[in-house]
Amino acid sequence: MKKFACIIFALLILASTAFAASGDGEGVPVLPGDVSAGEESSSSGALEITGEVAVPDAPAEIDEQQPVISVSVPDSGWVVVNPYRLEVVRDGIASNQQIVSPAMILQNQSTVPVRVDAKALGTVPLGSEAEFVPSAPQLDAVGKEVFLFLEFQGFWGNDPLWSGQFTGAANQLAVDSLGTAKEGVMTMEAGGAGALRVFGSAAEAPSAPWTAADTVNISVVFTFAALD
Amino acid sequence: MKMKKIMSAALAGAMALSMTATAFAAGNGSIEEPSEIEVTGTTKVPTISITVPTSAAVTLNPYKLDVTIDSATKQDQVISAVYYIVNGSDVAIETEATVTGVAEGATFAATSVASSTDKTKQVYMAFEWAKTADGSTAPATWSDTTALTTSAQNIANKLTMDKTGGTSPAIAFHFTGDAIAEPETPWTTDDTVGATLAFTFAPKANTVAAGGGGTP
Repeated sequence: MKKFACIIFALLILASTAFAASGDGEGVPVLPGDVSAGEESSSSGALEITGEVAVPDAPAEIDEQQPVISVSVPDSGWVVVNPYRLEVVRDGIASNQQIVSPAMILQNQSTVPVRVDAKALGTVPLGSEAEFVPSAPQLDAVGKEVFLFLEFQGFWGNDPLWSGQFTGAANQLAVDSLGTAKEGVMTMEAGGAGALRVFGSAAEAPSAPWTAADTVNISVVFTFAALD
Repeated sequence: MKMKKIMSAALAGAMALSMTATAFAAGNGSIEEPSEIEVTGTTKVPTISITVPTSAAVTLNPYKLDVTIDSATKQDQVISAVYYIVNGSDVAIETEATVTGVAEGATFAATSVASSTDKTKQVYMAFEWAKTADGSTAPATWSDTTALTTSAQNIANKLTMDKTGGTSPAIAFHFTGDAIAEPETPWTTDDTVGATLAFTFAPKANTVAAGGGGTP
């Protein structure tokens, strides 16, 4: 906006200069430059005028080739830790897996494919005795251990196919309380989508039984980069 | 015209920013401001409901008199009714028992004294338990027999009651045994035996049938 104000001001300066140079008060602009005239002064005749018009620099054009990334991301999600494999029914999901979560959908509204990087941070609320562990808890685990990992799937049209088994694959990110990160967990096609789900397992017979207070939360941070 | 175009672009940008769930960026091809999902966890825990008898009775009957228990007349030397622990939970319950014998005027024997010629007042008293179908059907056989002593004993085998609606959501227990029939000093009503029982319950994860468990 500031640039535009300068441009308009420059144009006004030029116009006033031209009017002043005409000297006849009729407002006919005289443009600077070489003038070839006949030998005789006359009120009529042909004039061949060549010259330049000083104009301000054109404003910078928006680079139409520059990719614009627009991705819609759900701002919240949920996960149920279900150590006793009870029936969990929520949001149309019925499951008795130890970790239950819905697919959380990201929509790539960009005109280019997008690479997704992710960071995850697990947190244990005050009063919870749950603890993150780096692999599936043993059957005889005495602590309230929970192993969680995120699985990412880019998809187009059909629903994503989930593994649900942790292999450390490029599209899986384990969760712990120190924070984990991985680049390129999935690619979303232009106009396509990607999804995230939480999987894992929990100690099923800790020395002190699980209570409703023994829960965990996860924060997942995405960054997006356009792919050529 | 160009200004209008730029203004429109700016407006579109502002609208995109106001949608907090949308990450939007133009320029270097990456979104500098990261987008975040807060995944809130909850923990599903079972509803534990277990019915446990608060008292039980055992009768020492060394002279094998007729004793009526639960509408049945018996002549056993150690007699008790059958008592039941019933699981009303939506999860299986692993049950552990600790039993401590109490004796007045007699001592506990480690094994049966039915054929003993000893003349001291000895009682062999055993705790037995087993899984059963409900809170009123005595099991056909007992899975554990533990001879009581005056020291606390953990029953070797834990029993797991099925969740409510399962095949065996209950545990039955009783006392059995025998006594020296003819001690040197006759038995009196002051000669008694009893026990203190303590049960510990722990929820046990349901098993998931193959192919079950919902979608991974």
